[in-house]
Amino acid sequence: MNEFDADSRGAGRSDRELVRDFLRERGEDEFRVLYRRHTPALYRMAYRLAGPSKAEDVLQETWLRAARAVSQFEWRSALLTWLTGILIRCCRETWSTNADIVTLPVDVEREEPEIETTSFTLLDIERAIERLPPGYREVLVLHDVEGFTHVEIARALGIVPGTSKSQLARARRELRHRLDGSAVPIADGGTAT
Amino acid sequence: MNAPGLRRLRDLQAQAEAPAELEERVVRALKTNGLIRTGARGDAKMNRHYAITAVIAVAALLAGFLAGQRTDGLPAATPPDDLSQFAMLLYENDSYQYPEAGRMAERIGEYSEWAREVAAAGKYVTGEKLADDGLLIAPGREPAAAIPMAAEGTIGGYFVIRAKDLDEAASIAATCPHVRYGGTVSLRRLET
Repeated sequence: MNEFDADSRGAGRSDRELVRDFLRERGEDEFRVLYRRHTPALYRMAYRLAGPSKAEDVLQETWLRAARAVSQFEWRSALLTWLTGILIRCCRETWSTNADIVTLPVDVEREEPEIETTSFTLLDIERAIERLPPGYREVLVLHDVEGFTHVEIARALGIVPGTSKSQLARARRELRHRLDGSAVPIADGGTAT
Repeated sequence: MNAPGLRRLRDLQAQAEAPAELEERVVRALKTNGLIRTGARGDAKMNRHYAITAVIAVAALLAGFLAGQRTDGLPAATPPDDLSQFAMLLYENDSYQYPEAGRMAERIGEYSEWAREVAAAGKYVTGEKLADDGLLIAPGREPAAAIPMAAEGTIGGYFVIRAKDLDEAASIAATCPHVRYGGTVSLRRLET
């Protein structure tokens, strides 16, 4: 079979070029390049925001909605930011509780210092993040795990950057409390017992 | 972003990896919902691609054959020594007018006739279709599976012809059906 390799076709092409070509013919190659480029980050977010058992369903639904709506995407943000917004909405639909982000007045919350987590195992941190309220978890995962800026988070979630900062401060404080209360710190950062 | 604590949280990125089979599941779902055209694995582009490279391959093969074994009864042309060699790089791009369905043989025939005429004049050296895969080599990075995409498109193949100067080479290249059908040819003299 003469098969074009999706990776080689996509290397060096921007998201915008790939989306333009995808829309032209609804081509599988272009989609696969976009999928492989953005799924690692999207899957990690789905894994932590919707849970391991729902991550695959959330990711599939995210790509389905994205493929339907991408022709209306106006490129006011990066493609990954736009995809993250869709993914967040899909995650929220999986939650049984009301997970709306609590809107706080800007700058009400003092900036919470970054969390010193070197005394805990990654498993401790993972479990503590799982138990965070959904609104806190969203901002903490996007900012502290995935490296989004507050502006990018604001675009993805449809909030203002100040709200993202406030949510992050509360999320970090809550995470620290949960780590202090549920895990036994270990001095060398090694394996928990 | 440099605090040890944040670096620790970033370590979580390595803890969740999408299963490989998920890609096929998502692609199937998109096909089922009509969001990817069934059987459209770049099909239109691939067909056009193979159309263009097929004519290059056939023309190159025929020209090479004619250059070595004259079959038309004409005396073989003996090129003068003062001729230079020129590479004709044939680009695939969106402006190329691809043959209609069922007329591929006719198009190949046009390329072959051109190659035969160049070979008969003793102006043909070689020509090849380029393979579809390749590596992009650049300083400071690992070789990447990529075919560089220039503004003119990608290079699908090449011919090397002989001419006394760039003007004569250009006049030969301009008669190539590739140009007539909207393709771009980059002409470069070989420094031999």
